[in-house]
Parts: sequence; structure tokens; C-alpha cells
Amino acid sequence: MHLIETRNLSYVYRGSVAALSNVNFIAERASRIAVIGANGAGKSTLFKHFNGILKPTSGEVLIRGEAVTRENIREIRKSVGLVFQNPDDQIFSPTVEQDIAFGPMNLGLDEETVAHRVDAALSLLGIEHLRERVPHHLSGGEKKRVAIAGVLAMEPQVLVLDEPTAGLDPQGVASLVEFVNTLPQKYGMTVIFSTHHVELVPEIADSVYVMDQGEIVAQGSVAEIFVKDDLLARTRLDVPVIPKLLRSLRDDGVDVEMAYTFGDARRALTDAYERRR
Amino acid sequence: MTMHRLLEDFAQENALRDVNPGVKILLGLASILLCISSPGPVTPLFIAVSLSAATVGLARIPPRFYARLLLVPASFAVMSIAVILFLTGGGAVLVSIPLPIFTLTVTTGGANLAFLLVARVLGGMCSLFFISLTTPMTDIFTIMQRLRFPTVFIDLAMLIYRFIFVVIDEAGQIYRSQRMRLGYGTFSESIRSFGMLAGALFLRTWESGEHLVRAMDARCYDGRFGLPDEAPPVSPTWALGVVLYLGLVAGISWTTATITLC
Repeated sequence: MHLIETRNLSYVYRGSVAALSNVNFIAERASRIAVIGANGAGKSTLFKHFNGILKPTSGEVLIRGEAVTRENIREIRKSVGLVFQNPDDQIFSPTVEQDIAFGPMNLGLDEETVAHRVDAALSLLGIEHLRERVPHHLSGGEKKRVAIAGVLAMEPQVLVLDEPTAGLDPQGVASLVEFVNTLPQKYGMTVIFSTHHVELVPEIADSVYVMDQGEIVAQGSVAEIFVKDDLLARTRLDVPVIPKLLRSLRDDGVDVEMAYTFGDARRALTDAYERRR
Repeated sequence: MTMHRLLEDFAQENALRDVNPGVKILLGLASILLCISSPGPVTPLFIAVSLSAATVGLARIPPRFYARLLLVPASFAVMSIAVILFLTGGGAVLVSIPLPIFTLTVTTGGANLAFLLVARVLGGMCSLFFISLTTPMTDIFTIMQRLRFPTVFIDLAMLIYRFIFVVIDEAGQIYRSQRMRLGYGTFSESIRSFGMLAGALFLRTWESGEHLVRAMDARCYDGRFGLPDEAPPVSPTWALGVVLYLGLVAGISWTTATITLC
């Protein structure tokens, strides 16, 4: 049984536009999954099926082996937390604290537990100082953190992030990457995120799905996906700079290990340098 | 972020933010009641001066902003009082201006009434501004929850509060992008642009509404909205201060009831 599975999922909107066709997607426990694809490839539409916001036109969405029904939708939304791309769509309470408390309150938890969840979410994202603030006085990065905290306060098993780095500054991206990486290790949470920022993918994903025009055109580990130059070019994406550089060095006959993340590349190059001496 | 600072922005950052909102609201509302029940003009004037001093001095609201704010109701008051001044009779004639068809006269009765009304308007507005500049809406929601207002009412108020700022931001953004492309160059162009702004704003509001429903559903909305915020505790100094102040004002009202302008 998979945590999230879609079988031949298709979605047609406004009667004729095919947004998703025959999508087969699987997410396992405590995994980190990237869904990459150009604008309009169908990433957001796919994500909205994971917690029953959209209903499939055909095919199935199974969450822990169960189809989404009216009876289990609350359970599903509790275990699959979705963070929208635009935090303004998600933050609707007058203060940050109240917004984060919204999910836990509606799960029917008592006030003490709600307060505890809010404190935990605030400290997890390092935004205790924003507690009493009103959302319209926050910066884009701060709003993003508040939106994520609001979902984490429900303690989901799966955190689904739609374009989490959109609109963040480099420091904001770096701290988001660091934060997201702690979730599977520390809490056994599964993280699914979409992006077209390919540089980020090796840093926070173990497996990658490539989407193009509503279909999944490739799937595999970071190493398997980022050798498919033709496919990535065809889907308006690109190979990240680090593997691209190392591959071209290897093609030129330099004796260096292949690497995808900054840390691995640093190690590979240092090793290569040591060997030459 | 909007370009203009709103009343609410000052309220969020005022120096009396940490004073219990109930105490502040009690002070403001009781002052308004004393203002309108006072028979003489001394009490409302005293309230206007002392609460303005509190707003500017204690809450640290910039005096220039406060003065500009007061100008709005003051200009309305002056216009309506001019009418009362000439139309109310009684007492000795003070001034009379002969006009071709009729004569405008100001009597002591009219002058006293007009002055009392000006004083009451000022006192009342200063009390109201004291509340709105020291107590942000978010604190007022807490008070409403404490007072057991219907939940539906508070939830709606909270959503409206949040979305007022979203609408202001959206409208500002559309307006600025229209200006950048010279949308308000000529009069007819302005009218066209304004129509487009209104149309675009309507569509965006509609979309925001749909997003809101999705966002609430995604977090298991079940009819429960805000959690009551914890209000700062009532400090003894403030409680005592407010009681003494209101007592003083009531005393002034009692002793100066017969004092009039002329």
C-alpha cells in the first residue's frame, strides 16, 4: 500500500481542456519527491487531487489505499497538507497566530492542544516573533512561512508544496531547503513539491517526476533524470549546472566522480584533485 | 503593502497596544456617553483635550496625522453648526446681518447651542479616535468573543477584516500598473481606466473568494474560526486611572452644567 497513489488519473476542466491525462504517481512514506515541469504542465492540478480539492474526471486517487470519499475527506485532508503557491490565497485570519490555529481548531482539538500545536509550528519555522502580527504587514517570505506553519500545525503525514521557492530571495530559498530536508528525517514526513527551479531538485529530492502537458513523461532518481538532456530540453527544462559541469568535465577526460548536489560535487572535485597530487 | 498608512496601521503599532483592550474601550465609550449627556460645553471640551493628549502623548500617534484626522469631522461640524447658529432663536440678539429679502440674526440661544454641539462633536470624535487609534480590530474581535457575540458574526467580521486589506492591495496594484502605462492621462482615459479597474477588481475578488473556500476546505473547515486571543491583563494602574478619570469628568459635568458661552 502506497501513501499516495494515482491510477490513470485524468482531469478535464471547462469540459474540454485536458489538464491531466493518465497520470500514475506514487509517493512512499518519508520520501522526498520533486515534480518538475514547465509552466502549465499540470503540477498544481495534480497536487489539488491529493487532498480532494479537485475530483478526477477519470482514474483513481488512492490515499493510503483508499479512494477519496465524502466520509474520509477530513481524514485525508488531515494527513495530506497542501501549501498553495500564493500565500495570500491561504492566509485569511486576522493574525498569524489565529491563522495557524485554524486547522487544529477545525480538527476538533481542545484549546490546550491547539495552543501547543501553534507554538510548535511557530518555533519549527522560526517565526515566534510574528505571532501577534497581521498578515498584511508581512513580507512575501514571512507569509510563505506562515502558510507552511498553518499546514504543519495539523501534523500531516504528507506535506505538499506548490512552487515553494516562488518569490523567495536566495537566503529564503536556502533556509527553506534546509527546513524541508529535516521533515522526512525527524518526523517521517513525506514531502512532495513542484518547481521549475531545477538547481534545487538534487538538494531536496530523492525521486523526480517530470511532467509535460498534463502527462508524466519521466520518473526516476535524481541521477536517472538528469542524464536525459533531450527530454529535459523538450519539456522546456534544463539539467542543473552542477551535473552539467561535472558531466562535461568527464566527457573531456577529467577523472572525476559524478555528483548532483553542491556537497557531493565539492567532495568529488577535492578527491580528483587529491588523486592528481 | 499599500502606500498610504491606514488608521489600523497606526493602531497595530501604537504605544498602548499592551494595555487591556476592554479598559481602553470602556474609557472611550464612557467618555462618549458623558459627552452627549453633558448639558454644558465644558465637559466635552475637557474630554476632547484630555483624550487628545492621551492619544498623542501616551499612544504616541504622530500629532500631524492626528490633526489631519480631526479635520475631517471638524469640517462637517462647522457646516452644520453654521445653520444652527442662524436658525435657532431665543435670548438676546447678538449679531444681525440685513440681507435684501430677510435678516440673518444670531441670538444668545443659538450661539450657546451651536457651541455646545461643536464641543460635543469634538469630544465624541476624540473619544472615538482614542479607541480606533489604540485598539486594533484584532483586539476588538477578542472583546467580541468575550462578550459572546454570535460566532457567525465574528467569523464574518474577521474574514472581512482580512479581505479589506487584500482588496486595497489589489486595487492599488491595478491602479499603479494603469498609471505606469498612462491610464489616467486624459479625462476620458481616466473614466475608461476606472471602469476597467472596477471590472478587474470584481473578477479578482470573485477568484479570491473561490481560493478562500478551497483554502478553508483544505484545512478541514468545520465551522470553527478564530481562537480567542489572550488579551493582556488589566493592570491596576490603568483600571484605577480610568475610574478616577471618569469620576473626574462626571464631577466636572455636575459642577459646570450651568456654564454656557454667553
